[in-house]
Amino acid sequence: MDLAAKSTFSRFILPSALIALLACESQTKDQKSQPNQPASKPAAEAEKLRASSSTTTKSSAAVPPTKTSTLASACEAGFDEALRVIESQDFKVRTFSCLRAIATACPPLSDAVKRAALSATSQRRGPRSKTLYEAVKNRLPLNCRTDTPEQGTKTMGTQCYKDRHDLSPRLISDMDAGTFGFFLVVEEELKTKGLYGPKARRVLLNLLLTTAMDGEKRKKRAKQKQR
Amino acid sequence: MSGTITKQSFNQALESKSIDVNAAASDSRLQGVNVKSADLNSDGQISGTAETSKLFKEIDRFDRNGDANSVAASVKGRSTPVAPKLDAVGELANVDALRALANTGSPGNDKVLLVGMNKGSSHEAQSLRNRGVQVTHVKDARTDDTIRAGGRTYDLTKAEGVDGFVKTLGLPEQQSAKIADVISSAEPDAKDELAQISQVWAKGEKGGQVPSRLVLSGHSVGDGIWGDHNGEVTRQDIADLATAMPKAAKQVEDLHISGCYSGGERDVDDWRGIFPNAKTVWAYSGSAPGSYSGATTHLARWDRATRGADSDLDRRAAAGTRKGDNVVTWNINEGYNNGQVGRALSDVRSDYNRSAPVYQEYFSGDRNVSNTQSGPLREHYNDIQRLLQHRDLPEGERGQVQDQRDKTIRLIYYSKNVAPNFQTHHQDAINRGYQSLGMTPPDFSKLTREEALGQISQFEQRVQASGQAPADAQTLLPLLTGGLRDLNSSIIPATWI
Repeated sequence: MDLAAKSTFSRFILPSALIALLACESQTKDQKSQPNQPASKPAAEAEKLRASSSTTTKSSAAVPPTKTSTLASACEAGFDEALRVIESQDFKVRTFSCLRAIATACPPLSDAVKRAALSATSQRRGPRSKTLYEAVKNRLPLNCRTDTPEQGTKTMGTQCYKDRHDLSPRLISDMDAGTFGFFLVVEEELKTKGLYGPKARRVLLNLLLTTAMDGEKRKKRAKQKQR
Repeated sequence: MSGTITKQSFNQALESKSIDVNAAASDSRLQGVNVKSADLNSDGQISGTAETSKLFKEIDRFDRNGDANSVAASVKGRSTPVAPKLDAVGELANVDALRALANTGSPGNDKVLLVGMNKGSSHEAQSLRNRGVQVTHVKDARTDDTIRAGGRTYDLTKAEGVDGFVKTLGLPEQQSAKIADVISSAEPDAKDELAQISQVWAKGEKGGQVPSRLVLSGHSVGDGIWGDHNGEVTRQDIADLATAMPKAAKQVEDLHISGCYSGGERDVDDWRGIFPNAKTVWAYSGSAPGSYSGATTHLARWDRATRGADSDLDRRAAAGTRKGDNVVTWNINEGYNNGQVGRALSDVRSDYNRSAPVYQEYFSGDRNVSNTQSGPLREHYNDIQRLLQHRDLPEGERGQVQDQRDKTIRLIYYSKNVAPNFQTHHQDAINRGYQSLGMTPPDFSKLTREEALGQISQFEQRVQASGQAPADAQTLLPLLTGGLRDLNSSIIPATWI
């Protein structure tokens, strides 16, 4: 694998064709007891693999780690590995890497979420929004539903996100409804399952930012066309 | 208020007052002033015109206005080296007028503390240095979450590392523990940045100056900043550190957040809550330029616009630049400006009216402020500010709204600052006043607002019932009712907040 030399403003830049391979390889590397396992495994089997692994627990723990903490550690390790790729990339391409991370880095996530994320990595914006939305729409609150997920979040109605004071209102409005709805569900699922650590959060933040920046660009282009 | 005081006014202000020579000599603000030389009769006190004149002459040595019979505490809005000396004399002699004069100017400087979460921040820091700006650059440590201090490296992922580091700051134990908490609670790979900020701010906590201009540079989605292959410093982290290091936080006048989506109005309000003396904020409604794609241009425009004590930063400073359209600004005179058409006065007034009832809940003591930077009362304060800054607010209403603003900010800081300062400042008057009526003087710094209002009510009733109340009680009553209860700015100065 060729790596570009370190520059002053990026650790390394990878040819995009290698990114997917690296992401999978990174995930595989992390499962140290089963080095030849494919990146995505049914959740139950993934649990068994991790239960037999002794690499993710803190050495100072006198009490054996719970299943949840082992899974959480594994997801954090998976997301950490994915972030080494994601955060070396230009923001323009991070959407795909973030979705791939959601698809492969954290096996305990629901199959629907992982499948949708994986499909979306090979789709353009409009179909991608629909794919992501379809996978999660039944898990969204009623005030977050929309008939046009490829449109902006305004189609969801402000009640959906009025309490998200941690996110810029403009960021939310620059995103498409499908990706934003997907984010809401994935975030909730990670938290409910005790898998929401700093690395999981970071993958989601990168997804939000890259999606919003793309949306901003589209709006600007549309405005310029109108003139 | 003019920033200059004549020798005659100085002497008049100190008439019938005395200053303990030892206390003055050990006050860091009077460093370099030969206080003992003013004690002409060597009685350990500076009092009387001859001695206060000599003290004035000593202070005049730090003045550059070219007039031996006056000293300037501020010039063009900026505090001079004389200001802290007048502040010290005012505090030691219990003369509010001198303290107020000392605080007419901004203590600021044009130095910049640049907190950079991405590698490109080095380029940003250098670009400012190339403009002659003195920049302290906080950046990712070579080894994650470590910091060097006093020749040693401390591992901030371990409790003993954090404890060892905070000791190097040379601050009181309780304060050091709070700073340690902030660092320990921070996300991995952000502890080093927070520790570096605390190193810079420690100087401010010990009476020194810290950079008045703060740049936070990194990726953002609204709250805080993060860096690629680095941690995330949240707004709460900065808020907690500012709470632990309030003197330093109060010195920040100009804030520049070089991060995407950092400039929502609510976000800017929250930042202003963290830095109570902020006069300007620069942030971004949408995407921000990168370190090598326009950030340095924006920093240059911001640098030019925020030098000195001026507070008229306008988003048009970024006009014609890449992503200039996304710049939002806030300044103390004109408020928030994101380039959008301002909201109608009726809408802003609706917000104000909607949040107004909370004021009475806190004023009566039914509710207490737990966090001075956020919560219903802070939100009401923000609504008042927006109303005040609306250009269509009738002049006739402005005074009343300003009064409401001043009371509300004092109410926000009632428990944290106002009551403790009142207790310290008026200790003697409180003791004398209560004792003159045969009552036990309370310690208002330890009472909730509700309890304090109860005490004040009892005192007021006793004074009224006594017919001809003793002079000490009559002196104390307006301080309690007008000051501690009604929060009038004539009794509760802004310097106490």
